[in-house]
Amino acid sequence: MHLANYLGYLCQTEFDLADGYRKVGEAHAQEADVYYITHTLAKQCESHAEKLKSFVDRYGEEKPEEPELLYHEFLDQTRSGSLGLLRDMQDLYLVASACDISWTMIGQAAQGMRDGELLEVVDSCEVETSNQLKWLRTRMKEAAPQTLIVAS
Amino acid sequence: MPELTRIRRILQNEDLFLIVQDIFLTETAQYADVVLPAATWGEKTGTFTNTDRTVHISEKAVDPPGEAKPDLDIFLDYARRMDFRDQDGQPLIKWDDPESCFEAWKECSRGRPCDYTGITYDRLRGGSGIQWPCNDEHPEGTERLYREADFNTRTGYCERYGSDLITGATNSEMEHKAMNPDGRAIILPAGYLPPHEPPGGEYPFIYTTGRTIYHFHTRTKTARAPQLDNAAPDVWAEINPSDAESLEVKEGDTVRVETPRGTLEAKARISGIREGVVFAPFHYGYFDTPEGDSPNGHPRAANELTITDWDPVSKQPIFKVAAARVIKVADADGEPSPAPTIGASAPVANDSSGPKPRETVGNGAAEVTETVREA
Repeated sequence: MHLANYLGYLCQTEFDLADGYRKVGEAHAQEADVYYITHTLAKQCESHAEKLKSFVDRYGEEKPEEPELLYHEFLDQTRSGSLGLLRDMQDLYLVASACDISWTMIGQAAQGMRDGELLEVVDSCEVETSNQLKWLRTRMKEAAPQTLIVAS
Repeated sequence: MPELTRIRRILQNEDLFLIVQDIFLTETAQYADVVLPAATWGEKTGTFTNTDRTVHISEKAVDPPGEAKPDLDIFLDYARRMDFRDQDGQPLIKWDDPESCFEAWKECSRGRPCDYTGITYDRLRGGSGIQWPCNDEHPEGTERLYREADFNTRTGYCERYGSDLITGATNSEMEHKAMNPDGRAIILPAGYLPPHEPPGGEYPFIYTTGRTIYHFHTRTKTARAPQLDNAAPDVWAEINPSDAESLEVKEGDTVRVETPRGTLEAKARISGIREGVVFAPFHYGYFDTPEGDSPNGHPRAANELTITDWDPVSKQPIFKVAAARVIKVADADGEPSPAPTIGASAPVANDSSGPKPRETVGNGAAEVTETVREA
């Protein structure tokens, strides 16, 4: 059973996303809304990861060998300026998408395992992850015309 | 605007061309490249709509002073000079005075939640204000909305699809349809989020800003009314008696309130404010000081201290919460704070810490007599 592997993957990716939000927020601190919202969302990701930890343990005993190439590197550096903000937010969008689809898959597994507690965690967290994606999309849409047409 | 040092820096930017249209030479107008002097109410005709949807007419009574013009005339002049045209090559703006502009607005609102089509200048002149929606279905206007618990939430009719309250992320049409509100109200729960700048450490106070009943916004009008100006002539800072005691601050002492963004100097009022909170009114700027447009060593604008941050959905700036410290800088020297003794700034009972607060009193200067004549 690979559920523990995937729980571990999502847990790590939520931590990576939290780290990514903070880095992007710091790099674009002059955009006050980006600064504060990324910091709020970083905390949200960490609380998702914390909630997953006990399930990693619950299913950990049956965990097979770590499969190859499960983890990937995200967001090692940030950019500056208005175009940099768009690209940085697009990177965050990719990581948040990885979390979003992972929640979907783990939700399916939780139903299969009749694990009501895990399902409850999935239900509350996946809404927040989907709102994170919605925010990234909203904010990028808002900035795109000015950045792509006017800024030099 | 919050964090005034930042705003002044932006307004002075060489790359920025600033046009200000206002009825007075405000601080902002003093940074402008072009000032368009505008008329105030009573100097122009038009309608305004209250937040309870009541549409009123306001008639011109006197000519505007000097070169000042009504906002509408300035916009029309701008459109004419820019030669804005529609797709048929005709002038884009087809209306030329307040009433024809109102008629054009009525067409914009036709069939929408804020339907104005049943309102005319004649009706507004004949009686009192009228609340929109006012149309064939509601010819007398609408005092209460949603009487039958029928809300404007149908996807094809609503004005927006809604937002996430934490981030401001907007819903798509599809998401709104999937919710299927169909005339039902949508209730959005909002979990508690701590303030972005909680008090603690170097900045132990919560700094909050607000008003006194004697002034409106930055006093461009109310400072010119002597009775209102006398009642609240200058800035003050309110603190709680137990904070005053530990800071060794008495009524009328000058304190410096500091946040990571700036400084405010004001005489202290020991009031019934909550412990750990310091308050300053946001009415006082620089237009009526020798400095004119900036503190120049005498910072008294409450927004020197506020944070650049806003609610993600309404975009309201966060003027009510910041972390601050309070430092005593001078004794009262016999002079109490200029805070009114009426309203929230009333001194705590029996405060004898410093000079006696000057009581806010009325006088005959504003007295009027109105005689009702027989028709």
